[in-house]
Amino acid sequence: MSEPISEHDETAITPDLHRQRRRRLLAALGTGLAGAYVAPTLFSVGQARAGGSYSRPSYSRPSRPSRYRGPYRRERRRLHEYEDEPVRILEDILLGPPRR
Amino acid sequence: MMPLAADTAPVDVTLPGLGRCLRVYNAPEVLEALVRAMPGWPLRREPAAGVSPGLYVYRDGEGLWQSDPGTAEEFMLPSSASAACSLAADLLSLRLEHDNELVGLHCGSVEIDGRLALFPQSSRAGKSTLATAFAAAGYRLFGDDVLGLTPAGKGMAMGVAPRLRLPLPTSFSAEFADYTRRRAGPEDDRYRFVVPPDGGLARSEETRPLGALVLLERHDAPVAPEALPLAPGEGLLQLLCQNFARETPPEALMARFMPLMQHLPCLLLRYSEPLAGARHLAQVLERGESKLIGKKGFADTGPAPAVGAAAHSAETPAVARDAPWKPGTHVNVYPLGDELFLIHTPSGEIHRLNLTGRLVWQLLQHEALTVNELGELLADYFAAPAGAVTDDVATLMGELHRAGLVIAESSRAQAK
Repeated sequence: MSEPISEHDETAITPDLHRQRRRRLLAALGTGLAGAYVAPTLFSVGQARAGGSYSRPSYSRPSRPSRYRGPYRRERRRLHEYEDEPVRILEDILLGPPRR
Repeated sequence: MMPLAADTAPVDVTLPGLGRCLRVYNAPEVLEALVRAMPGWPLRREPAAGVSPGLYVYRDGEGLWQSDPGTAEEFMLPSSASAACSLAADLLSLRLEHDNELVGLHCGSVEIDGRLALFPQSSRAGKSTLATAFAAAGYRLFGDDVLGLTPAGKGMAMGVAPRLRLPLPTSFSAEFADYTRRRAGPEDDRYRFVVPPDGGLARSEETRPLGALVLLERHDAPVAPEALPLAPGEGLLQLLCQNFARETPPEALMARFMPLMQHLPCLLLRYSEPLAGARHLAQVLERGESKLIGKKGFADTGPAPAVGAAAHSAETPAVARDAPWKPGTHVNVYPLGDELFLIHTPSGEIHRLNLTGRLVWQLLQHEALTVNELGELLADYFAAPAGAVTDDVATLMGELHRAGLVIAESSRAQAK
């Protein structure tokens, strides 16, 4: 018949039990995984990235397909027309666009 | 205001999937260039009627001008080829906006054995060149820049011909360079559309199942082409970054991409000459070698894209090593291969943990643990120096904490 564990003994062995349980858990989680230690890493999508052997994404998602964008810009002319003469909108709707 | 010349009647363009979407004033050459650049997306022209669509192009005494969608501006175009290039991109954007079920992927795509090989990459990574090289090798293109992903996980063509930047590098083979000249569509001194022969470019809305995800490693110096397996997380990351679904929540993107990456081979294509690279990759995929090389272990793709490494420790907030931590409550977890992808739901940020990080996370899911406890466990498991491992865990925990992925466990008794 085994001796009952005193309160003092229990506090003494609990950390070991915890360690053993965690080790068993880790062994189970790591079953079938490759062996050598690699530092744990967290990579957040959206961060700038350094290094790497292949062309990695820029992490700023493209807003639209690749296209030409010229350096010479100006305000829209037809918008101007409509702003200046709102009746042109009605004319365009009713009569079709003018040949300009 | 400056009057426009009145040589030709304005025309409205209607496209399948979009309806009336473009007005062309006095620039018939632009319309012709657009027709040639989009052989798989046939447009219909009608006399202009009603208010102009938001997208328009016209020629005046100064030159060619196009409206910039989403702005109140116009910009000048140097040629009809550049106009076709710009308009095709804007029409593709409209096409994707018009169909909420499609996720637009930023990738090249080619049909091999009835399935699509995808090259999701950022701009100037070689997508268009490789796609064109596949066309030169006799394969059927689905696109060089945009592919629709249907809810069923199939790739949908857009019908736009590939477009190369000029001048072509002199390192390209004569055979490839000759193909691009023979099949040249609209071009100027910057761009050349390359139009495959009939049947060589899938028509808009044609779909095929996906067959492989291929990341590109293009070398300037000559190298023999080779295809190497990559961890599926690399492919998932690429899909997460190279898509046009900016308004789609990350959880919804994960729901679309995760099932794909759980069975789709992910490869790295290392090459220098595009035609040789295309032929090599096609051979690998046609022979089913992608499944075989996947069993040999993943390619070493250089240093891991990490923030938990020592190089970043200066930026990492210090955390107490003897205080217990547990996973945060607003985190969605997606295992893929050996790795874990985490979404912090309040911010929508996506994070990726490597294998060791995944073990840390899984341990924390069972009970709150301190950095010291985790360091000791991992050092014992991997037979690695405890001090260095604990330092690594502390760095990782700092990053996890900063990202809102772990929280301090205040209720646990310290004297376990």
